[in-house]
Amino acid sequence: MINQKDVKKLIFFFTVIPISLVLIFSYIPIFAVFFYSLTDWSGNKLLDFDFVGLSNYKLILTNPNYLQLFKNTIWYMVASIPQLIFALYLAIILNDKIRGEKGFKAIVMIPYLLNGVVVALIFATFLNQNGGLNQFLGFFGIESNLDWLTNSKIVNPVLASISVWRYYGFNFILFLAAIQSIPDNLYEACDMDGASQWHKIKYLIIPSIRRILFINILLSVSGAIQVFEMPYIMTSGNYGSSTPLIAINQIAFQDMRVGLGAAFSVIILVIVVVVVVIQNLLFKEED
Amino acid sequence: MVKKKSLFTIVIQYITMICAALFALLPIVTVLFNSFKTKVELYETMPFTPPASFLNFYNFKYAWEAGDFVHAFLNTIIILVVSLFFSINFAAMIGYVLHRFDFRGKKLIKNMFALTVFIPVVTTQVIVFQMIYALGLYNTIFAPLLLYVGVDIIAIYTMLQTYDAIPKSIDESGMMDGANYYTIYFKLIYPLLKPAIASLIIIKGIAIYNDFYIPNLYLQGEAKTVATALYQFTGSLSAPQEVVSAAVIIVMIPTIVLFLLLQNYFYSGFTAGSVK
Repeated sequence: MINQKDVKKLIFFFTVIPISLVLIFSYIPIFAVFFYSLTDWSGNKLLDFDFVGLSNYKLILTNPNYLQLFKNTIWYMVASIPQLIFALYLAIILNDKIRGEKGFKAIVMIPYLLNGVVVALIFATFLNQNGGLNQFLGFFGIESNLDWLTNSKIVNPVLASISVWRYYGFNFILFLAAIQSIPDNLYEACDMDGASQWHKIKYLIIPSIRRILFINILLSVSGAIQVFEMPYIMTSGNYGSSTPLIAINQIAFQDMRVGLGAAFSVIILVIVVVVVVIQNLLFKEED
Repeated sequence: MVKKKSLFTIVIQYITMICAALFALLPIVTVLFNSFKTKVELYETMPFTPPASFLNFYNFKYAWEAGDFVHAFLNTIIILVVSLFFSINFAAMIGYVLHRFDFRGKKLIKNMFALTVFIPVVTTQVIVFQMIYALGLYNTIFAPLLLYVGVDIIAIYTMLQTYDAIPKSIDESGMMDGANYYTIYFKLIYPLLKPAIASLIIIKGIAIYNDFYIPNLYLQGEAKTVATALYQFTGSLSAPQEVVSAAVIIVMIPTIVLFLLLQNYFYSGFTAGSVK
């Protein structure tokens, strides 16, 4: 007794608004951003622009100041290595039931749950000359009156370390869920074979969570290229800590050089898409 | 089979937990202490010295008024309620038709939403900004609202998983009773979506509450969210450090309270959505 006409109506009413929204705010802008990246549009009037070919791209890719912004994001990618190792170590150590686990999980999730502005201000307080870090180092006999955020030699690694603090809990929870979904009988089989803890990690845990491990690595890479909040709020991109997104913010929304901002956006988009394609290629072969 | 853990393992586990917890909490402790200190105290004591009194709420009062947090929280609550209501319901509705019916374009719709994950929000904002500006929505809370009400693929996946667990016989029994599709969806199916809706509320709610990029870009005027209200304390307000610390704690509290109340929903939705 299914009335096809009614079904069609239902499908239409249940999908029309969200589909329109995703077209208007995701797909049309993506095409537009490619288009305008070839122009010198200033954003005021819709048709008030000239085509400039690839010169926006050329400007970005040949200007050492702009290239430096991309280099700065490498610090964040590098920082994700200890971050993932730390998160994985925690997940392995805390895999079996232990008293206080729930409270501990909540504590390490707190940094991930906090507002970015909160995180920035916490560390602005913690890292200034009279801040908590210098006092903490003093407990170990290390005298320091460094202002960690205004020194261009260390500002990028310091900011990248903050993102380790912020995101290791996120990685930990995902790793823990993946490890806990390994069937118990596999562990028992390992025990029967007399496998050591290290062998269990190497031959059972790591292979079982390879996929989630890899997804986390790629998330870190694509996250690094999109770093914005910490340097924007804490240093306003000063002391050599600016990033591509901070540049876009300045170029497209303050200087109103929308064409150039669009070209910047396209470059970021391409980098992220390449990362995603690599991920899919690697896992296609496996399935 | 109950394994006996060695004492060594237990000691290692607890040392690890304590170190990781200290790593997470130490930076927060200094702001917490600062927020209760008086101006004089702040200059005379070290960061890890506890305040003389944890009942000194002067800084909080000062921060609350200076940051105009009444309006910031009101705006944020309006944005949260409206965008969560629409985006979660849209996800539930799309999920329903994708799960229960076969039709032309079904795969296209799914892919269309799935692909948006790979589009960094910022790359489209260069253009969206111009659209919002042309619509006259710049500096109004309609700007963030419009950008938040859309559906994301994680919400759709969460719903699809939930529909997997709802037997089709429920739909069929409704049909037998002569109910139309809308009645079936709203009366029979919708109540069963509660756990999925709860986990999406907490996950998306925290994401929206924490978002700084969109409000910072679109709300430069009077209208502020909690995130941008706190951002004023970094410069334009030039408030003393103990007051800034109090503002930080004010913004932190709702997140932590909500999380502690709803953490089970958070973990279930979070791991299910992210593994996809």
